[in-house]
Amino acid sequence: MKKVIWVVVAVLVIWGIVAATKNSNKVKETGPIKIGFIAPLTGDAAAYGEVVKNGTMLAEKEINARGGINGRPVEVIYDDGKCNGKDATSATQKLVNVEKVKFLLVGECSGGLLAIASFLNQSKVLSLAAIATNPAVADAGDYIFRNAPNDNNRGTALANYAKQNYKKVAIMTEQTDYAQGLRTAFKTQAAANGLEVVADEEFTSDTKDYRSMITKVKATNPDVIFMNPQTGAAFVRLATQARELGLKQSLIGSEFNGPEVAAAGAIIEGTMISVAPGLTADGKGKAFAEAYKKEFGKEPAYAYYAGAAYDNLMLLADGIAKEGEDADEVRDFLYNLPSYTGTIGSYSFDEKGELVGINFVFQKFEGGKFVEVK
Amino acid sequence: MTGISDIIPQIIINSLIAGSVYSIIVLGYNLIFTTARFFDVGVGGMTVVGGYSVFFLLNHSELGLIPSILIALIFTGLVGYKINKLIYKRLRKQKATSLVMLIASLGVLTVIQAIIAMIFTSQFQSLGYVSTSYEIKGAAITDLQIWTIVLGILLPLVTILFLKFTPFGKAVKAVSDDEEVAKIVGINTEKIIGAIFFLGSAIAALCGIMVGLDTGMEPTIGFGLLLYAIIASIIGGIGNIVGGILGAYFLGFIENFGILYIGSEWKVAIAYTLLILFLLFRPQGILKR
Repeated sequence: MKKVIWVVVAVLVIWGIVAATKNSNKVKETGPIKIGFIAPLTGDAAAYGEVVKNGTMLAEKEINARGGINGRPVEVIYDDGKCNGKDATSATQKLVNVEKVKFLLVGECSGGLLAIASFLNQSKVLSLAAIATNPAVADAGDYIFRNAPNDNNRGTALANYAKQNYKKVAIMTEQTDYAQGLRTAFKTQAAANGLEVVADEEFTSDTKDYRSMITKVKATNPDVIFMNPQTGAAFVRLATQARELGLKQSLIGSEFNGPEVAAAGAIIEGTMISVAPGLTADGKGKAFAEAYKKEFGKEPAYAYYAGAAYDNLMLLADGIAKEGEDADEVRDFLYNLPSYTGTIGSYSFDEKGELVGINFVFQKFEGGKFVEVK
Repeated sequence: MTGISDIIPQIIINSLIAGSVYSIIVLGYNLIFTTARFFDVGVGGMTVVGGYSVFFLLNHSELGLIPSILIALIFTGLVGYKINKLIYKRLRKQKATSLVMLIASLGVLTVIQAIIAMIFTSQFQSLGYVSTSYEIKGAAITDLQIWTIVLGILLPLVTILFLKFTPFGKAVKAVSDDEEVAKIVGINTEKIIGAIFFLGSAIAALCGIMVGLDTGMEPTIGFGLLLYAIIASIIGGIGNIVGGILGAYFLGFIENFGILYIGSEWKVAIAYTLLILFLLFRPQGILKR
């Protein structure tokens, strides 16, 4: 009896293996093209993670509406990176090892992206990042591309602006990769152009009570304060507590011009921030903004990144249509692309997969909203 | 030029504010510990239940701030009472160890946080309170923060007096001394414990509400506040309510002065280092039980 059972088990196992491999071959050629997506969908960073997801969803919808890629529908699998390395890693491993995606759309924070970069390169998963701006992403690997500008430029621009208008700056930085990268770029330029940094404080992400740190900064009498957190929510908390403690200085910062920040109102009046430029006023950018509003009922906050995410999927679809579902071929396609016109403007990628052709701009908070400054 | 000595008054105020927040939550936490005899991590969940209840009432009803707070306190007290009845009471009947109860309470905290995140999103929410700032000796403080300090000192005081001089309070002391003997003497220990869960949860809710009004709500702040409650209670002497309060203020001062002399990024590390030092050199805490 035992012998019979073993034979049955052996047959079942062999049949199972044959069936599984046969199935996956079939699915590969005619089933949907699975593309992974990772971004912070919960937590403070969801303020921009959600928008990036929406931009991607819009692109997915449009691609499938026009028949998919070479007749095959696109299926984006959305996962939550929560803006930290640990959760980004487990989400990415699930996407790559279980769902077996070959392409990854990244809306994850710089810290999350840097944590998963070597795994993506090892697994040869072609990844397009829409929002990570940390300088280290430039060297993250052959398979990582981004259409978000590099923070080295932003740190330099902010330090130059501060030097032109003020003498002494105080910095308050959150301990995340993105914020630290920006701080380093800022301080490097400050050392070069003679701007005096009177305070350089840091705080951990789980702190919500910044009062004593702000008190320390107050004692150094800065002319301007560079607030450098990871999220808009933290920016509002910093500004609120700073005003409560009697700091009247102007603020400079980066990135955070979403509605959750604009709602802070008078306490951030006059704040100068360096942000990604936004969608083009006509052409694809305008069409995207209208489609977004129609689909989601409101205008996209952090519009540049929503558009960048949309462009990433559209561009990826073009690449796959031309080169097939092959990560290496599509990667070369991206490297050799002379120029792509998307919702964020015209751009291309350099030999490191970095964005060429679009840079940060300044915006000032005046009368309740952020307006661009030339 | 403002020097270090000029900002000492502000650091003192910051320490008092932080100490008061910790004082309120450690009060709720210790009340439950002395009677139910386990580390109720679910107290962290009660802070966010309280805070989000106020958020909900302010946004979906015509009620003002004070009525919303009172309703939130009662509601959270009832939630804590119900959880005790459904979960902890049963575990106690099965003679579960305090470790098992701790793990169960961890489950309670996690579930509460998840439910709140599902209903209110995990994004940071503001309760929309506009504070007025005052100045004392060059240090800034808002009306809300003054209230926090007042509550942080008065609430434990009132609770201690209440426990000392009322029949209910004496019954609580009896249960915390020895539950078995209390039962023999005729005290309905389950009823006392239930009442304490109501009280402790409502107090924890108040902590969450004050923090929410001052800095805003997120589903995860409960865990951070809870950690402070645990550190304060261990530093102050486990099971000792007065000790817990002393521990809370001690922690507030060391943390904020530590930021001044060491560095802001060490804030949380200082709290834990203090805990380790106490566990190593004075495990019974500031005040013995």
